[in-house]
Amino acid sequence: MINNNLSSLAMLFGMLSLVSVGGGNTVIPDIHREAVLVHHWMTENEFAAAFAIAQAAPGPGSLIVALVGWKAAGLLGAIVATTAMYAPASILACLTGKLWRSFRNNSWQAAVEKGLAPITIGLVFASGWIVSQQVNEGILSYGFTLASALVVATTKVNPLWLMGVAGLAGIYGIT
Amino acid sequence: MTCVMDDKKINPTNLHMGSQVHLIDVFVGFLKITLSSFGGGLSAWIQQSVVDERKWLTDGEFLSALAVCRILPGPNAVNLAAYIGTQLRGTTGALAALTGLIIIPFLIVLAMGVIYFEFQYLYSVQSALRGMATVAVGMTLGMALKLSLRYSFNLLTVLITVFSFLAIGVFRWSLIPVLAVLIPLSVWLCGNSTNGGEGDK
Repeated sequence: MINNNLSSLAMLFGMLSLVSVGGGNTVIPDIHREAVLVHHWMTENEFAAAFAIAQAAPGPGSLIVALVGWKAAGLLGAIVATTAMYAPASILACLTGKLWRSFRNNSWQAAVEKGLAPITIGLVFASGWIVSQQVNEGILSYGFTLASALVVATTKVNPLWLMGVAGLAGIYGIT
Repeated sequence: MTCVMDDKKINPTNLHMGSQVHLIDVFVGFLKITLSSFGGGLSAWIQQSVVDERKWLTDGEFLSALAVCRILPGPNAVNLAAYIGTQLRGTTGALAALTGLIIIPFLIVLAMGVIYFEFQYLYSVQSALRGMATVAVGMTLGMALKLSLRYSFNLLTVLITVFSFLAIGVFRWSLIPVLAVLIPLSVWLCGNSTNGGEGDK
Protein backbone atom coordinates (compact mmCIF):
# COMPACT_ATOMS: atom_id res chain seq x y z
CA MET A 1 0.00 0.00 0.00
CA ILE A 2 2.70 2.42 1.06
CA ASN A 3 4.84 1.35 -1.88
CA ASN A 4 1.91 1.82 -4.22
CA ASN A 5 1.38 5.27 -2.80
CA LEU A 6 5.05 6.14 -3.19
CA SER A 7 5.07 5.24 -6.85
CA SER A 8 1.78 7.08 -7.40
CA LEU A 9 3.28 10.16 -5.72
CA ALA A 10 6.45 9.97 -7.79
CA MET A 11 4.52 9.60 -11.04
CA LEU A 12 1.91 12.23 -10.25
CA PHE A 13 4.27 14.97 -9.12
CA GLY A 14 6.96 14.09 -11.64
CA MET A 15 4.39 14.66 -14.35
CA LEU A 16 2.90 17.80 -12.78
CA SER A 17 6.41 19.22 -12.41
CA LEU A 18 6.78 19.23 -16.18
CA VAL A 19 3.32 20.55 -17.06
CA SER A 20 3.17 23.36 -14.50
CA VAL A 21 3.93 26.07 -17.03
CA GLY A 22 3.41 29.51 -15.50
CA GLY A 23 4.20 28.48 -11.96
CA GLY A 24 3.29 26.04 -9.21
CA ASN A 25 -0.18 27.47 -8.61
CA THR A 26 -1.36 26.44 -12.06
CA VAL A 27 -1.39 22.76 -11.03
CA ILE A 28 -3.09 23.22 -7.63
CA PRO A 29 -6.45 22.09 -9.11
CA ASP A 30 -4.78 18.94 -10.47
CA ILE A 31 -3.12 18.23 -7.12
CA HIS A 32 -6.48 18.72 -5.43
CA ARG A 33 -8.25 16.33 -7.81
CA GLU A 34 -5.64 13.59 -7.42
CA ALA A 35 -5.08 13.93 -3.67
CA VAL A 36 -8.71 14.38 -2.58
CA LEU A 37 -10.97 12.91 -5.27
CA VAL A 38 -8.92 10.18 -6.93
CA HIS A 39 -6.59 8.77 -4.24
CA HIS A 40 -8.42 9.96 -1.09
CA TRP A 41 -5.12 10.79 0.59
CA MET A 42 -6.72 13.78 2.33
CA THR A 43 -10.13 15.37 2.95
CA GLU A 44 -11.31 18.67 1.44
CA ASN A 45 -10.63 20.44 4.73
CA GLU A 46 -7.17 18.97 5.07
CA PHE A 47 -6.33 20.04 1.53
CA ALA A 48 -7.52 23.58 2.20
CA ALA A 49 -5.47 23.67 5.41
CA ALA A 50 -2.41 22.27 3.64
CA PHE A 51 -2.74 24.98 0.99
CA ALA A 52 -2.97 27.71 3.66
CA ILE A 53 0.01 26.30 5.58
CA ALA A 54 2.22 26.10 2.50
CA GLN A 55 1.28 29.68 1.55
CA ALA A 56 1.88 31.06 5.04
CA ALA A 57 5.11 29.22 5.79
CA PRO A 58 8.33 30.65 4.43
CA GLY A 59 9.49 29.13 1.13
CA PRO A 60 7.67 28.15 -2.06
CA GLY A 61 3.89 27.74 -1.80
CA SER A 62 4.27 24.62 -3.91
CA LEU A 63 5.53 22.84 -0.77
CA ILE A 64 1.91 21.80 -0.36
CA VAL A 65 3.12 18.67 -2.16
CA ALA A 66 5.13 17.76 0.96
CA LEU A 67 1.92 17.62 2.98
CA VAL A 68 0.11 15.61 0.31
CA GLY A 69 3.05 13.18 0.35
CA TRP A 70 2.97 13.07 4.14
CA LYS A 71 -0.70 12.15 4.18
CA ALA A 72 -0.21 9.52 1.49
CA ALA A 73 2.89 7.78 2.81
CA GLY A 74 4.45 9.52 5.83
CA LEU A 75 7.87 11.14 5.87
CA LEU A 76 9.14 9.11 2.93
CA GLY A 77 6.04 10.17 1.01
CA ALA A 78 6.78 13.81 1.77
CA ILE A 79 10.34 13.43 0.52
CA VAL A 80 9.30 11.52 -2.61
CA ALA A 81 6.53 14.00 -3.48
CA THR A 82 8.77 17.05 -2.98
CA THR A 83 11.64 15.56 -4.97
CA ALA A 84 9.33 14.48 -7.78
CA MET A 85 7.75 17.96 -7.93
CA TYR A 86 11.02 19.88 -7.98
CA ALA A 87 13.64 17.66 -9.62
CA PRO A 88 12.42 17.48 -13.25
CA ALA A 89 11.68 21.21 -13.54
CA SER A 90 14.91 22.10 -11.75
CA ILE A 91 16.97 19.93 -14.09
CA LEU A 92 15.31 21.69 -17.01
CA ALA A 93 16.04 25.11 -15.47
CA CYS A 94 19.62 24.07 -14.79
CA LEU A 95 20.14 22.90 -18.38
CA THR A 96 18.60 26.11 -19.71
CA GLY A 97 20.87 28.10 -17.39
CA LYS A 98 23.91 26.27 -18.73
CA LEU A 99 22.83 26.75 -22.32
CA TRP A 100 22.24 30.45 -21.69
CA ARG A 101 25.64 30.75 -20.02
CA SER A 102 27.38 29.04 -22.92
CA PHE A 103 26.11 31.72 -25.31
CA ARG A 104 27.26 34.56 -23.04
CA ASN A 105 29.41 36.28 -25.66
CA ASN A 106 26.89 36.06 -28.51
CA SER A 107 25.38 39.33 -29.57
CA TRP A 108 21.90 37.83 -30.00
CA GLN A 109 21.83 37.10 -26.29
CA ALA A 110 22.20 40.77 -25.43
CA ALA A 111 19.40 41.49 -27.91
CA VAL A 112 17.13 38.87 -26.32
CA GLU A 113 17.90 40.20 -22.84
CA LYS A 114 17.04 43.71 -24.03
CA GLY A 115 13.76 42.54 -25.50
CA LEU A 116 12.79 40.49 -22.44
CA ALA A 117 13.27 43.25 -19.85
CA PRO A 118 10.15 45.38 -20.60
CA ILE A 119 7.99 42.25 -20.99
CA THR A 120 9.12 40.85 -17.67
CA ILE A 121 8.49 44.13 -15.83
CA GLY A 122 4.93 44.02 -17.19
CA LEU A 123 4.58 40.39 -16.08
CA VAL A 124 5.67 41.18 -12.53
CA PHE A 125 3.13 44.04 -12.35
CA ALA A 126 0.54 41.56 -13.66
CA SER A 127 1.35 38.97 -10.97
CA GLY A 128 1.07 41.63 -8.28
CA TRP A 129 -2.22 42.85 -9.72
CA ILE A 130 -3.75 39.38 -9.90
CA VAL A 131 -2.73 38.40 -6.37
CA SER A 132 -3.83 41.78 -5.04
CA GLN A 133 -7.35 41.13 -6.28
CA GLN A 134 -7.40 37.92 -4.26
CA VAL A 135 -5.95 39.23 -1.00
CA ASN A 136 -6.89 42.88 -0.73
CA GLU A 137 -10.17 44.06 0.75
CA GLY A 138 -10.67 47.09 2.95
CA ILE A 139 -8.64 50.26 3.30
CA LEU A 140 -6.12 48.93 5.81
CA SER A 141 -5.36 45.93 3.65
CA TYR A 142 -4.61 48.18 0.65
CA GLY A 143 -2.62 50.38 3.03
CA PHE A 144 -0.33 47.48 3.95
CA THR A 145 0.14 46.59 0.29
CA LEU A 146 0.91 50.17 -0.70
CA ALA A 147 3.30 50.67 2.23
CA SER A 148 5.11 47.45 1.42
CA ALA A 149 5.40 48.34 -2.28
CA LEU A 150 6.82 51.77 -1.44
CA VAL A 151 9.25 50.41 1.16
CA VAL A 152 10.57 47.84 -1.32
CA ALA A 153 10.73 50.23 -4.28
CA THR A 154 12.25 53.28 -2.63
CA THR A 155 14.12 52.24 0.52
CA LYS A 156 16.59 49.60 1.63
CA VAL A 157 14.50 48.84 4.72
CA ASN A 158 13.75 45.15 5.21
CA PRO A 159 9.98 44.71 4.83
CA LEU A 160 9.94 41.81 7.30
CA TRP A 161 8.83 44.03 10.22
CA LEU A 162 5.90 45.23 8.13
CA MET A 163 4.99 41.61 7.51
CA GLY A 164 5.03 40.97 11.26
CA VAL A 165 2.72 43.92 11.88
CA ALA A 166 0.39 42.80 9.10
CA GLY A 167 0.36 39.24 10.43
CA LEU A 168 -0.64 40.49 13.89
CA ALA A 169 -3.27 42.76 12.35
CA GLY A 170 -4.61 39.68 10.56
CA ILE A 171 -4.77 37.63 13.78
CA TYR A 172 -6.68 40.42 15.54
CA GLY A 173 -9.05 40.66 12.60
CA ILE A 174 -8.12 44.20 11.61
CA THR A 175 -7.22 43.54 7.96
CA MET B 1 35.47 24.37 -11.60
CA THR B 2 36.79 24.49 -15.14
CA CYS B 3 33.47 25.90 -16.26
CA VAL B 4 33.87 28.74 -13.82
CA MET B 5 37.33 29.55 -15.09
CA ASP B 6 36.17 29.46 -18.71
CA ASP B 7 33.35 31.74 -17.85
CA LYS B 8 35.62 34.44 -16.57
CA LYS B 9 37.59 34.40 -19.79
CA ILE B 10 34.53 34.47 -21.99
CA ASN B 11 32.87 37.14 -20.01
CA PRO B 12 35.39 39.40 -18.33
CA THR B 13 32.90 42.23 -17.81
CA ASN B 14 30.84 40.12 -15.50
CA LEU B 15 32.89 40.55 -12.36
CA HIS B 16 30.23 39.34 -10.01
CA MET B 17 30.03 35.91 -11.62
CA GLY B 18 32.51 33.12 -11.21
CA SER B 19 34.82 31.81 -8.58
CA GLN B 20 34.41 34.58 -6.02
CA VAL B 21 30.91 33.36 -5.19
CA HIS B 22 31.37 30.49 -2.76
CA LEU B 23 28.98 27.55 -2.71
CA ILE B 24 28.30 28.17 0.95
CA ASP B 25 27.33 31.78 0.11
CA VAL B 26 24.90 30.52 -2.52
CA PHE B 27 23.38 28.14 0.03
CA VAL B 28 23.21 30.72 2.83
CA GLY B 29 21.94 33.39 0.43
CA PHE B 30 18.98 31.30 -0.67
CA LEU B 31 18.37 30.09 2.89
CA LYS B 32 18.05 33.69 4.09
CA ILE B 33 15.81 34.55 1.14
CA THR B 34 13.48 31.67 1.78
CA LEU B 35 13.24 32.25 5.55
CA SER B 36 12.07 35.83 4.92
CA SER B 37 9.35 34.88 2.48
CA PHE B 38 6.24 34.48 4.60
CA GLY B 39 2.97 34.54 2.69
CA GLY B 40 4.50 34.70 -0.78
CA GLY B 41 6.58 37.31 -2.59
CA LEU B 42 9.50 34.90 -2.97
CA SER B 43 10.67 36.32 -6.31
CA ALA B 44 10.82 39.80 -4.76
CA TRP B 45 13.01 38.51 -1.93
CA ILE B 46 15.26 36.79 -4.48
CA GLN B 47 15.58 40.04 -6.45
CA GLN B 48 16.39 42.02 -3.33
CA SER B 49 19.09 39.62 -2.20
CA VAL B 50 20.64 38.47 -5.47
CA VAL B 51 20.60 41.81 -7.31
CA ASP B 52 20.48 44.61 -4.73
CA GLU B 53 22.46 43.19 -1.83
CA ARG B 54 24.84 40.62 -3.24
CA LYS B 55 25.08 42.01 -6.78
CA TRP B 56 25.36 38.53 -8.25
CA LEU B 57 23.18 39.55 -11.21
CA THR B 58 22.39 42.85 -12.92
CA ASP B 59 18.79 44.01 -13.37
CA GLY B 60 18.90 42.90 -17.00
CA GLU B 61 20.23 39.46 -16.15
CA PHE B 62 17.65 39.03 -13.40
CA LEU B 63 14.77 40.08 -15.65
CA SER B 64 15.76 37.63 -18.37
CA ALA B 65 16.23 34.89 -15.76
CA LEU B 66 12.74 35.66 -14.45
CA ALA B 67 11.27 35.50 -17.95
CA VAL B 68 12.98 32.21 -18.75
CA CYS B 69 11.89 30.70 -15.42
CA ARG B 70 8.28 31.67 -16.02
CA ILE B 71 8.30 30.08 -19.45
CA LEU B 72 9.81 26.84 -18.14
CA PRO B 73 7.48 24.44 -16.31
CA GLY B 74 7.78 24.27 -12.53
CA PRO B 75 7.35 26.66 -9.62
CA ASN B 76 8.91 30.01 -10.58
CA ALA B 77 10.99 30.53 -7.44
CA VAL B 78 12.37 26.99 -7.55
CA ASN B 79 13.29 27.42 -11.21
CA LEU B 80 14.86 30.76 -10.40
CA ALA B 81 17.03 29.20 -7.67
CA ALA B 82 18.17 26.40 -9.99
CA TYR B 83 18.81 28.84 -12.83
CA ILE B 84 20.67 31.46 -10.77
CA GLY B 85 22.63 28.76 -8.92
CA THR B 86 23.70 27.41 -12.32
CA GLN B 87 24.74 30.86 -13.49
CA LEU B 88 26.85 31.33 -10.37
CA ARG B 89 28.49 27.94 -9.86
CA GLY B 90 27.16 25.40 -12.38
CA THR B 91 25.31 22.27 -11.29
CA THR B 92 26.68 22.30 -7.75
CA GLY B 93 25.62 25.93 -7.48
CA ALA B 94 22.09 24.93 -8.51
CA LEU B 95 22.06 22.19 -5.88
CA ALA B 96 23.31 24.62 -3.21
CA ALA B 97 20.65 27.19 -4.14
CA LEU B 98 17.85 24.59 -4.25
CA THR B 99 18.85 23.02 -0.93
CA GLY B 100 19.03 26.45 0.68
CA LEU B 101 15.64 27.36 -0.73
CA ILE B 102 13.77 24.22 0.21
CA ILE B 103 15.23 22.26 3.13
CA ILE B 104 14.14 24.42 6.10
CA PRO B 105 10.71 25.42 4.67
CA PHE B 106 10.11 21.70 3.95
CA LEU B 107 10.62 20.96 7.66
CA ILE B 108 8.53 23.97 8.75
CA VAL B 109 5.64 23.03 6.45
CA LEU B 110 5.74 19.43 7.68
CA ALA B 111 5.82 20.54 11.32
CA MET B 112 2.89 22.91 10.81
CA GLY B 113 1.02 20.25 8.85
CA VAL B 114 1.51 17.60 11.50
CA ILE B 115 0.33 20.04 14.19
CA TYR B 116 -2.76 20.78 12.10
CA PHE B 117 -3.51 17.16 11.24
CA GLU B 118 -3.18 16.23 14.94
CA PHE B 119 -5.00 19.17 16.52
CA GLN B 120 -7.10 20.62 13.65
CA TYR B 121 -6.09 24.06 14.87
CA LEU B 122 -5.42 26.57 12.16
CA TYR B 123 -7.48 29.66 12.83
CA SER B 124 -4.68 32.06 13.73
CA VAL B 125 -2.44 30.70 10.96
CA GLN B 126 -5.08 31.55 8.39
CA SER B 127 -5.79 34.98 9.79
CA ALA B 128 -2.10 35.82 10.15
CA LEU B 129 -1.64 34.68 6.56
CA ARG B 130 -4.35 37.06 5.41
CA GLY B 131 -2.40 39.96 6.90
CA MET B 132 0.99 38.80 5.66
CA ALA B 133 -0.30 38.19 2.14
CA THR B 134 -1.13 41.90 1.82
CA VAL B 135 2.52 42.76 2.48
CA ALA B 136 3.80 39.94 0.25
CA VAL B 137 1.78 41.20 -2.71
CA GLY B 138 3.05 44.71 -1.99
CA MET B 139 6.58 43.35 -2.27
CA THR B 140 5.87 41.93 -5.71
CA LEU B 141 4.42 45.27 -6.84
CA GLY B 142 7.32 47.08 -5.14
CA MET B 143 9.84 44.94 -7.04
CA ALA B 144 8.13 45.80 -10.33
CA LEU B 145 8.15 49.50 -9.37
CA LYS B 146 11.80 49.44 -8.30
CA LEU B 147 12.94 47.73 -11.50
CA SER B 148 10.86 50.23 -13.51
CA LEU B 149 12.44 53.19 -11.74
CA ARG B 150 15.92 51.89 -12.56
CA TYR B 151 15.07 50.95 -16.15
CA SER B 152 15.36 53.71 -18.71
CA PHE B 153 12.07 53.48 -20.52
CA ASN B 154 11.37 54.92 -23.95
CA LEU B 155 8.02 55.05 -25.72
CA LEU B 156 8.49 51.61 -27.27
CA THR B 157 9.45 49.81 -24.06
CA VAL B 158 6.66 51.53 -22.09
CA LEU B 159 4.18 50.22 -24.65
CA ILE B 160 5.62 46.71 -24.42
CA THR B 161 5.45 46.75 -20.59
CA VAL B 162 1.88 48.08 -20.58
CA PHE B 163 0.79 45.52 -23.16
CA SER B 164 2.39 42.65 -21.24
CA PHE B 165 0.69 43.84 -18.01
CA LEU B 166 -2.72 44.20 -19.67
CA ALA B 167 -2.56 40.90 -21.55
CA ILE B 168 -1.61 38.78 -18.53
CA GLY B 169 -2.90 40.81 -15.57
CA VAL B 170 -6.14 42.34 -16.83
CA PHE B 171 -7.29 40.28 -19.81
CA ARG B 172 -5.88 37.09 -18.24
CA TRP B 173 -4.73 35.69 -21.58
CA SER B 174 -2.62 32.57 -21.19
CA LEU B 175 1.05 33.15 -20.72
CA ILE B 176 2.62 30.96 -23.37
CA PRO B 177 0.74 32.23 -26.47
CA VAL B 178 1.21 35.83 -25.30
CA LEU B 179 4.94 35.35 -24.83
CA ALA B 180 5.25 33.39 -28.07
CA VAL B 181 4.12 36.53 -29.91
CA LEU B 182 5.49 39.21 -27.60
CA ILE B 183 9.07 38.00 -27.12
CA PRO B 184 10.09 37.82 -30.81
CA LEU B 185 8.28 41.08 -31.44
CA SER B 186 9.95 42.85 -28.54
CA VAL B 187 13.42 41.49 -29.33
CA TRP B 188 13.01 42.62 -32.94
CA LEU B 189 11.61 46.06 -32.08
CA CYS B 190 14.11 46.77 -29.29
CA GLY B 191 16.95 45.60 -31.53
CA ASN B 192 15.87 47.92 -34.32
CA SER B 193 15.29 51.01 -32.21
CA THR B 194 18.40 53.10 -31.57
CA ASN B 195 18.28 53.19 -27.78
CA GLY B 196 15.45 50.78 -27.02
CA GLY B 197 15.86 49.25 -23.59
CA GLU B 198 19.45 50.45 -23.55
CA GLY B 199 19.93 50.98 -19.86
CA ASP B 200 19.01 48.51 -17.20
CA LYS B 201 20.45 50.49 -14.31
